[in-house]
Amino acid sequence: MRRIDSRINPRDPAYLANLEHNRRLADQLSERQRAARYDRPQRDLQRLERQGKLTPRARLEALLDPGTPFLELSTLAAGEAYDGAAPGAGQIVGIGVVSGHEVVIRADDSSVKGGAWYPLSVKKIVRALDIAIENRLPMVHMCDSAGGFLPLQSQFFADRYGAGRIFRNQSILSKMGVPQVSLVLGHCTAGGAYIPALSDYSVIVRGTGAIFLGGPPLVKAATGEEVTVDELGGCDMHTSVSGTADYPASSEMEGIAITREIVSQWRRPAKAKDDAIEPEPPAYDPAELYGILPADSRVQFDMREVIARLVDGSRFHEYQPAYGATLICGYARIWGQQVGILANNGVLFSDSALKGAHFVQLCDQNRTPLLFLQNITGFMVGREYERRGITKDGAKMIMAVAGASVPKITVNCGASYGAGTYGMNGRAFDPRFMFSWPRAQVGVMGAEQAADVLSDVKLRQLARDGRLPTDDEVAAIRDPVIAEYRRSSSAWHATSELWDDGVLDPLATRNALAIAISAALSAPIDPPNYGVFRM
Amino acid sequence: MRHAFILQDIEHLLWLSKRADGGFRLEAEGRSHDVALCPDGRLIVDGETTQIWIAASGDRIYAHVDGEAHELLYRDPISRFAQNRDGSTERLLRAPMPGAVVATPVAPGQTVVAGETLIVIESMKLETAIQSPRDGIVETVHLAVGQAFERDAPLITLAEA
Repeated sequence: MRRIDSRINPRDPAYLANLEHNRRLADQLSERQRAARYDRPQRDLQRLERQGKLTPRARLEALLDPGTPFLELSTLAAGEAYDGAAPGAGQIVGIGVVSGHEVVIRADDSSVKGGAWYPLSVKKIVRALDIAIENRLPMVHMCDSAGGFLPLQSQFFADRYGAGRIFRNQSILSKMGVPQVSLVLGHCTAGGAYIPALSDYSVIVRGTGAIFLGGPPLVKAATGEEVTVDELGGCDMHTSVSGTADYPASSEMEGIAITREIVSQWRRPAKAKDDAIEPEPPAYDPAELYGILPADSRVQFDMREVIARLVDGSRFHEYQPAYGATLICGYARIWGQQVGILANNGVLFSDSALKGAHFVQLCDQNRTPLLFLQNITGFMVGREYERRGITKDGAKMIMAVAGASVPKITVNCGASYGAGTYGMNGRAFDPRFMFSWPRAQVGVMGAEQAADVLSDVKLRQLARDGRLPTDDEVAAIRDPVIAEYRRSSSAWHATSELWDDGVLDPLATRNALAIAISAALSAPIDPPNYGVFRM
Repeated sequence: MRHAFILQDIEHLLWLSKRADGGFRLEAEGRSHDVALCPDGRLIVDGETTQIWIAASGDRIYAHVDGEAHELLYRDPISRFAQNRDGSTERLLRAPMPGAVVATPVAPGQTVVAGETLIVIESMKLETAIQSPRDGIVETVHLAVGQAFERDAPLITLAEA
């Protein structure tokens, strides 16, 4: 297969400016991740030490097979919410290797508000279980939570994707024959008690682990009964009397060792596809991505240059290279595994949408996972394009993308706006994994257009009062609107709200995609089947 | 179709096929040889053993045999048979989408290299740099900064190569 012929000029001033800009963004990403993982008030760390508990990160390290890759998801969840009170939404979620098995790991972060569940914590837990269900991945829970954060209960309880969804998802995962183990390292109170109870296996640590529907204070208030934590729901009671938990452990490390042995007993289902070839690193240096991605988000870039730095050997079999040129379609391999790539190289026209719809079906027939590389401002607008059926052709692409049976993975490399987000497999289209690059923006439309629309209302109001606004007045109305819109369409905000599964450094993307593809191929792939394409 | 390798500027057409007994047969220069390459570096051709060291980097293969180093270059079949190897021979570059001209960094008569920006356009609030598909000389810049155009409008004509 041919290599992509790269045309970058590393001495171009624009390239050098981009390099500096994107390096700064990557540094910002790693600093935000470091802070979300490790920056904690001293008193919280001291409390864990006093209780004889490991930090959640130390538990994770002990659980994983040493030297194996761990793809952490949504590290920056809730990063822009609750005034920064819940870094990572108080949850650690990722895909890793335990006793040689690929599993989803979910751990309450007891160094954040005692592991209390905020609304975004619940969203992150539900998403972790959705990932397990969609990809048929076994799951390890490490439970140590103070319970739901009561002041915000109205935002995480009653709705369809509220806390109940955690337990519904656990039940569905079990029903699908995918095993789960819970390691109880702290209190599992009220709803949280059902996490170990609904797991196929559970381990509980003596002294610190406890499971109960109502803790001692609630029991006293309800019935007047005075009871200790251990009597009410401790390790020995549950493993020898109630049968709510299965294995007693004398320490956290013993509990982790038992958990690892449980996972090693599980069967290892065959992958949906097993035709990976010998991997080959990209022929072009992935570090050049920093020079390629424009510092100015309004500047277009050639997505082939990006593909050349993500795929094996920079080799790309381009489908319809001369038709619908604003959407690049073709086959490549990532760490030996074949993918069908759809990548934006400009606004979508009828021909590009038709090409995309056709290529999605080719990949589905060929059982090839799809990778969407988004940099899309939308579909072309205008009378001529409507007459030629731009909406109808966009609908075909959306129908194909929504209906495809093969796993789909999306990376927002720059922009994801409006109907372009739909056609390019945005979050609503159930990508198995969805990542953003630090420079990415997502929204109904770009900031400039949105500011025009939003400020137009106010300007017309001024006009009704018979006043013609000065340039300064227009700017005074428009500038805050742009600033707020930019903030709320940034990758930091998107990942804070769990509109994606995490922000990736462009240079870490190739490895992350390999883990994501491998995870996605753990589930069998249904035969191709589509709805009605509007012809 | 046989694989093409270049060794010292000479193209060799080869094919390696698997034999029923698990060994390999190499078809080269109209002749056929039984070959085997052992993990310890022994190369056995028609029963004769030589020691060989091989390193591959992309499409280049370096082989050290009998005290001499050789470089082989694998030729991709599509590139090998493509009629115009240096990219497009198209002289006229057209607008990929409707929009307006933002910058015209080149002038008629100017020599440009492949990948050099010939004209920058804006469409749907996005700036796109139209790059030269090959080395050449600019013949005509069809539009000036600020001018609007429809899709497929001529932007730049390159001189005959």
